[in-house]
Amino acid sequence: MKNKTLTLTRILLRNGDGFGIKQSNTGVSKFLYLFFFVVLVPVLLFTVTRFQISAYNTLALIGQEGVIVSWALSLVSIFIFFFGIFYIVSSFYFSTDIEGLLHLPLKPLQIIGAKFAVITLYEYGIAFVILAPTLIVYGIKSSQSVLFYLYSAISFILAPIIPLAIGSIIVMVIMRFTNLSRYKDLLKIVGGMVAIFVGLFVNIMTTRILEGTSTGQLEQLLLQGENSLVKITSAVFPSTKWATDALLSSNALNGFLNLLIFVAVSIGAFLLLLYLAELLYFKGVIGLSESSGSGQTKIVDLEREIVKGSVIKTYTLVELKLLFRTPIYFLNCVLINFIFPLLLLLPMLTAGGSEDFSELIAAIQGVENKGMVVAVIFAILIFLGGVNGVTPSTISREGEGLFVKKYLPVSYKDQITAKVLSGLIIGYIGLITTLIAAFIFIKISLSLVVIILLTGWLPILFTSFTGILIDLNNPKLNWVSEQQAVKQNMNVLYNIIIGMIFAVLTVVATLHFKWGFATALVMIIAIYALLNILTGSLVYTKGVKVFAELEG
Amino acid sequence: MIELINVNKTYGGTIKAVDDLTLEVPRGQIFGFLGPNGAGKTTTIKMITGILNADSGSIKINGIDIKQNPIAAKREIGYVSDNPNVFLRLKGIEYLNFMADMYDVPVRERRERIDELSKRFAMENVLRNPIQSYSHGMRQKIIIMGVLVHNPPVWIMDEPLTGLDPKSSFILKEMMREHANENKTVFFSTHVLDVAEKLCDRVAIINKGKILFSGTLPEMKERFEKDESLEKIFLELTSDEE
Ligand SMILES: Nc1ncnc2c1ncn2[C@@H]1O[C@H](COP(=O)(O)OP(=O)(O)OP(=O)(O)O)[C@@H](O)[C@H]1O
Ligand SMILES: [Mg+2]
Repeated sequence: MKNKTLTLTRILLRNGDGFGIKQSNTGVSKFLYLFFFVVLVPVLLFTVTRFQISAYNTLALIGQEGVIVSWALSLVSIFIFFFGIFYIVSSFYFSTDIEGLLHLPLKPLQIIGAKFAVITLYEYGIAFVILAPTLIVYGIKSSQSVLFYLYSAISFILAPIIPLAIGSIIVMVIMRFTNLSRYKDLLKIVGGMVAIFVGLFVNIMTTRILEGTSTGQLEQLLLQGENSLVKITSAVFPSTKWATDALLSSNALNGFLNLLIFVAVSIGAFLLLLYLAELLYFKGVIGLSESSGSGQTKIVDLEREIVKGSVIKTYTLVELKLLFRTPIYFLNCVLINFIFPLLLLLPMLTAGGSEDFSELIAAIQGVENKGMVVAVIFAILIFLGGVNGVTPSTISREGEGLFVKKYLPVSYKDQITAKVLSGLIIGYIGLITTLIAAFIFIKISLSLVVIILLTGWLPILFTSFTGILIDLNNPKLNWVSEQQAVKQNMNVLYNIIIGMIFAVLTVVATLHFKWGFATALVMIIAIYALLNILTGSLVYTKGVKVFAELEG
Repeated sequence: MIELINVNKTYGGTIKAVDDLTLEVPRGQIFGFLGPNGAGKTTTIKMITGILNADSGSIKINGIDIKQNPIAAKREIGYVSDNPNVFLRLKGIEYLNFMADMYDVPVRERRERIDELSKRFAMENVLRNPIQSYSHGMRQKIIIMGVLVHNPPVWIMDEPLTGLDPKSSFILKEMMREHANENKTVFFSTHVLDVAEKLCDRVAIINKGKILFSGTLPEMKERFEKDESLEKIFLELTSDEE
């Protein structure tokens, strides 16, 4: 008989939707898709290549060119670990296919093995964009032998395994214990959050340990040449060291040994995962869908709970409630607002000694740089607005239930307003967490906090408009698991890219025109106000029309 | 044969969905599981199939304990859930193949069965389409075919007749009868009391997680000393007398 894990992997891939290729058959969809693969991906690959070439040239001067390899491997591991952990929580515990699998005669290790394989396949995208240009640049520049490319291929294939296995194990342990409790509703979400935070913490700690190297040691390492710096850059993620050593000395025995260790540890991590799946998975997943309700079956207090509200207010609240109560939406759209500010601050928290840090703060507080502070904060806000994915998935999330929105006696204009508002509100949460983080750690001034509280909605509104415009024109309605509506939805990615582009433009413009504090503030606010008027009017004319024509 | 002994299930620490339930579903008979909305039918069925864990009590399928030996127990079961919307992206044929793979059905056998089943349920023309494009009744049929393709000894179906057209419904009932006649187990929940009355050899009525009655229809009429329809007895039994 055929191997059931493989059969299941194939079925899960089919039941998913490849890589969001056939989002819908409209011209807009095809255009966006083409644009992504013909323009954005090549540009990204080109950028990484250029960056790595110049990094190689610079580092080669001090005999540290191998750093580009270890840097790339570390970055890939961290990216995969970070994005993977969301994916793991959703796919192992909250996806709809689980109900269809639990009654089949499958062992936990078969289900987890298949789901793990699917996630691994998806992560090759990230790995490819970073690793392929890097390894080719290094290979050509240091004229490596065939062996190097063979080792490269092996490292590429194995790159996601260890980060994902560690992520999976953390998630399974935590879900095993949150499922014990009576308060599952709350805990299953908290469990997902804790898993993500534990993951981040592990990373910070490993970074911390290596940052323990004093400046003196660092200088010594630098002077040693022969890629001695690699020791540090490859230690960011525990497993990258072996891969790096294997690649950098692919012609020596040492390289071969390191490759063996890397392969062995990867296989070991996978086997450990399967072993733990047998112990933990069913205990964590069975009964997870049980909702705890509010204790005794209470009679609804009709007087208090059934009240009339304005249409837009009620609609917006429903949108928000769904985002908060659907674990997958919560993880992808809401939680990210708490994690990204942390992530942005990570480098600062972990960077070097405290002297560098206070210097950094001083620099930020320096009068001449204040224009940059405004630009950077707005850049973060616009990035956050793009990253939460609320509006670029707002139509998609309706899925097969879109028909409800079509027969409701509420104008499409009002529905769009409510949806944009939900995006704005979630984005504002990100604004507040970012501000708090910036206030505490970068010690920005109180007046700046107030100014941003008052004006920060502008960039967020802008990404909310662009998001809903994209989603209206290219909705992904025929999904079968919520995961596909938010995570495997190209629209979310498009809006993230828009957010990133405008974030970069904001900073670049401020730098280029050397705006001071006041100028930067006025200019940025004016520009985003204008952008909002433009996109907003597009949403309320074209967007409304498209919504009216949409069919589920 | 399915045996449940003192099975309990509480959701969220407070909602007692199944209350000390003891039930035996013998072979060779069609067993109907009746009860009002929220009575605990689906919960019971999900515990039998291993989708939910019972808080206490024991559940055996053909003598195999679902908790102690889940894989072996699950191999005995074919389960039609009340929600046919799980593998919507798959084509009908892919789904059937998948189910056959999961239960190790030899290729020859599965071809014959798929061929026969798709003809009987009038599905041969849509097997190459994704399940998502199916109507509600067609989705229900493909799930039922997914069970029949591996032809397990114990059929457990949660409201299998919902949405089926008269012909498909007739065929399913006929197949249930054939299966029972082969001395195998058929256990299904339904709200259609006429069907239950005509089709079932035995019924159990559950309300608020407790079994109110379990036995054959003649036994029921005897017990309640009335020669009334199942519908009448059901309504009387489950009306809130408190
Ligand atoms: N996932 C869940 N979380 C919390 N409580 C649940 C859950 N599923 C069911 N319940 C509760 O358990 C009880 C029994 O529900 P169950 O679904 O077993 O009823 P049923 O007999 O199948 O009803 P129906 O005829 O409507 O299908 C109900 O009180 C219901 O509210
Ligand atoms: Mg039910």
